[in-house]
Amino acid sequence: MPVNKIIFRLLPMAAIAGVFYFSSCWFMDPASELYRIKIDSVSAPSSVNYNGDTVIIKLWGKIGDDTCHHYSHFQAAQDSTGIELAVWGLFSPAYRRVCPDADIELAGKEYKLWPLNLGIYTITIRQPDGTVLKKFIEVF
Amino acid sequence: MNKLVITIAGLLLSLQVNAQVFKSLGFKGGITVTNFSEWNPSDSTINKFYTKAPESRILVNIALFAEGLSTKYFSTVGEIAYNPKGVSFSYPMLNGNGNVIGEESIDNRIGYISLMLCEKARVNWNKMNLYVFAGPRVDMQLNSNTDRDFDETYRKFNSMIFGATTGLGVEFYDRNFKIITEFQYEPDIAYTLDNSYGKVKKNTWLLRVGFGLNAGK
Repeated sequence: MPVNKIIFRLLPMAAIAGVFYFSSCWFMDPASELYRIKIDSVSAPSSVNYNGDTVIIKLWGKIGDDTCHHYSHFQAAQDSTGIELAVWGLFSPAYRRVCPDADIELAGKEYKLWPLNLGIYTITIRQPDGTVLKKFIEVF
Repeated sequence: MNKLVITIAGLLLSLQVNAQVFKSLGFKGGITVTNFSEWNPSDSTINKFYTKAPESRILVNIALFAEGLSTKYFSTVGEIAYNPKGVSFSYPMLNGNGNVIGEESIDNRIGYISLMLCEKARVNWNKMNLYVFAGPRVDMQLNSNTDRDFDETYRKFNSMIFGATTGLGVEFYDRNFKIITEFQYEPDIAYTLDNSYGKVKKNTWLLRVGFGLNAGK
């Protein structure tokens, strides 16, 4: 059989196989999704000693309304004047798994940091809607 | 440079005076890979959180084409395509002690309608056409899907971007139809962003297969 005829017959089959391959992924495994958690309140000490004190930031906010939502990780950028922090959750619906209703909260989730300079240190919490929450710590 | 381009275009068109006006019509589809050749946003949030260079994403494109003004070796191809172009930005995932526990990435994408007009040169060999093509292109933004951290910068991207298209491929043809496989390179000539929000320029590569119906002689 000439090479061209073989190619003519194989290419449509490869295209159909490709469509099935990619579509099956979407049907079988609903995508997990990372999202920023909205922080309702933050607590941090008003002042800390530069030599040795660890700053513990505590965060409160709702992670989700069912057990398919949970805390994932922190995202942070720190410099000598402060830290910018975002908290990420993960929505992970597994195929054919039920997600029972539940009130999933951060419930004072802690983030520890060490200020890099003396003076006023700014904690900036980035919210999902682009707004920020700020706290100021005096480092002496 | 402009005179040279105009001269070559004029020469090629003059060769096509007695050409077959309409040759074929069809569709192509495949993958698009975009890379920022320049990425300098001025947004401090992006610069603080996303310190690594953006990475290419693989997305899917689809196009309709028409080929005409065909002579033995040359033809002109017009194409309209939906061509999404996107990159990923990675950042370190941290635990409660500030230690790195992994890396996560954020995907951004802009969907473009691409219009291009290419001159195609081909040689025939054993029921196949081997060809190269090149021509101007314009991308018009149709939609976008960007993360909040990038919204402000991406919103300032130009909605119309001029560029070039070049590539090579092979057509397997029968009397009534042809099957196409081709590689395409799309360098942008204009900047995607060039103002106080930063400077961004991109290049794109496409790998596509297609199907065309040939017009009768």
